[in-house]
Amino acid sequence: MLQIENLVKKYDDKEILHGISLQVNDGEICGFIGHNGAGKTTTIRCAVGILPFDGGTIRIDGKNILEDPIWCKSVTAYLPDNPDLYESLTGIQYLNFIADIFELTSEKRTDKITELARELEIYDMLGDQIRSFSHGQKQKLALVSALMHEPRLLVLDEPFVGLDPKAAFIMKNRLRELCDNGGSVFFSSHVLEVVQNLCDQISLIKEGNIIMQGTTEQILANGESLEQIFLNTENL
Amino acid sequence: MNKMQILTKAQLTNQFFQQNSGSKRKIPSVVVSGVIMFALSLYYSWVFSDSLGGGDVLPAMVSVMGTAVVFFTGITVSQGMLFGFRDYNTLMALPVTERDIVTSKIVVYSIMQYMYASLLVLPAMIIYGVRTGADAFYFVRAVLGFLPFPLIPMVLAAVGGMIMESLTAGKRYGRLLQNAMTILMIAVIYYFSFQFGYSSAAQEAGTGLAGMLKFLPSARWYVEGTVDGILSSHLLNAGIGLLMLSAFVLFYSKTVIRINARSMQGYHVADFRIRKTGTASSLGALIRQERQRYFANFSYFLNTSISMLLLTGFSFYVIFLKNPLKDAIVLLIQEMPDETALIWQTISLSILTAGQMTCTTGVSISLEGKSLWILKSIPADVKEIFTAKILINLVLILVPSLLSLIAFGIAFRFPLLYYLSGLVLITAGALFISMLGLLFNLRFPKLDYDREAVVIKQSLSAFLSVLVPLFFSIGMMIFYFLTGMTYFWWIIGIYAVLDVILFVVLAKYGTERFRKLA
Repeated sequence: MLQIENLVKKYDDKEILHGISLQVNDGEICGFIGHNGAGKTTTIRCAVGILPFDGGTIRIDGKNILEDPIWCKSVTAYLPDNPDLYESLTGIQYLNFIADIFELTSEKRTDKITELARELEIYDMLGDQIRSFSHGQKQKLALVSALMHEPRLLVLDEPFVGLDPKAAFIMKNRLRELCDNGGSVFFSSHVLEVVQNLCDQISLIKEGNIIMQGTTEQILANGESLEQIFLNTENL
Repeated sequence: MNKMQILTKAQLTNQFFQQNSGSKRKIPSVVVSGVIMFALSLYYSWVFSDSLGGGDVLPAMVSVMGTAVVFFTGITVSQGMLFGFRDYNTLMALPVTERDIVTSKIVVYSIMQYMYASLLVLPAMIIYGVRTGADAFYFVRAVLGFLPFPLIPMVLAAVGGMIMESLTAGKRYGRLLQNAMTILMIAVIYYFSFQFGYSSAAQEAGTGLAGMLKFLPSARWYVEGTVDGILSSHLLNAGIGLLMLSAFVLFYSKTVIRINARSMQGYHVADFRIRKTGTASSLGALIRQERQRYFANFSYFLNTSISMLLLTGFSFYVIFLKNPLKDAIVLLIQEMPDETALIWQTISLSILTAGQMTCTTGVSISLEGKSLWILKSIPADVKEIFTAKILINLVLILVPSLLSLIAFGIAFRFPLLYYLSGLVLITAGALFISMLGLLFNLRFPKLDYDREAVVIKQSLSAFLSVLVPLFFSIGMMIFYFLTGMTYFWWIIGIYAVLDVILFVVLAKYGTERFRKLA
């Protein structure tokens, strides 16, 4: 579903990503871990078409994001680490905006918004201005907007930050459900326990290089926890 | 440096100086803008001093205008700086006193108001002094007397901003109410200024603006103190200004927490129920989002709509009320029936010049700010995003312009065909304004800021996107008059050619710039 090959990204003259490659297969959840400043967010922002890059190829479902960005974005949903939404809009206005962009019918959007917003317990506040939402509520609203158009690829940057335990539980179930239906999930996280338990695949990035990747079973094969493996990479 | 000074320094740095991502140290855009504004102000003061008939008209006029600028910018700047400031939580958590926070906010607010006023008033006072051969004491009086000059309008603006914020913050239709109140206030001021502008007293003074001096004590005292050398006027200005400022500081420090809390909360709706809604195309959705952003942002609305509001008000004043201007134009048409086309063309060009101030695209990319990721990650073509921004700008120029054209057309019974030529000119000019503004904003975006007013009022793009088309339009007017008023259709042609060029540049360079923004 998502193929990144030899991705190079520079900020001015400084190279941040040194030709990284990774792949997320259909029906798989891939966890992306690494230290602060390792290049996780940059990789993710390149993958969803927000950041231009200096080398390499990114394909979503076989299509090159540079050649066919609209198609790639129409099957992808992205949830940033800090959901800065349109604060002057109400929750429902924002969701209708996204629904229009993704061409959701009136019936479908009504059903999906109701279902997801009730599940995440933000239904009653959809008429409120986003300015009045807490960080977690904004995160939930962004999650509703990401899931309501049933993307084939869901890309999330630190999705569990700011979520209450129940919402985090619902999110994990939703991610698994999306993959069970043939979709794929690629997310970054510092919550290694969640990554270890939820992901089919794990990629570890350090200083702009992928230093470890494989299925969760392969990575954990020697019996160490993901936390221990992660800490060991300090010495690499 | 005490804590209040540290806070003030940090806020001033945040306000005026943008951290550059590269290693090269660049001159802050606010300095560049300030120098250009000062130079322009000097130039225009020199040009206007010729046409205003000498006397005390220039100092009187700039004092009135300076008061108006301080008052109107003060209302918008105070909201977001004095009330509803986003760093409230951060500041309150620091080991500083509430008084330090309050004082630093007022100091930064005052510095900004002094900056706006000085760019307008001081160059004109210098030119006046030079042209009248004033002695050195005149210049000393002009500079020292300027210190208390903005105090009264500045405090009144802050009080006005506080009342508006108190009435509208946290209410569902608060922004709508705020915009309506502003329009009403402008209409009232405008009505009285025109009424007074044609009174005999104003005619004696040479201009309606200067005639308003009578109603603006701080401006009058400044002129009396500087031009007539009446020291007591400066002292009166200083005394009353400081008294009002002290009273405001006291009141503000007691109410800031309550008002700020309300400003930040947004509005809530009880018993929300989702209803089936109509769908829109992605372009429709983008246009709707732009429209909602425009009317929800008081500073954005006021800054870009004021000239068109004034224009519409003026047009309806001309058509509905008996006034000397209307009589003069009617007389001109009666005496020169063969020249009606020229009169109409001049009116059309003047309407277009007023439209130069309404450039919403000049900051529309910057206003995406931290939510730019939404536009960049949704499956919408960059051209669609640009189109939505340009269309909103076009509507905001064309609707009031068309109303004005109709008003003038009815008032002076111009033939219907004339409306078409006026509309074609204004459409071509409005496209030019909108596309050039968008290009400037793509070239000079400011995506990181704490208040949207910083982008709207102080960014380089905002500055360029108003001034460049304005000067171009004035240039076209000069071209029109110098060439014997025979090249009106050439001007339309020039705008049309520029529109095509800008369209191509936006499609290529603009799209590429947008893709690189992050």
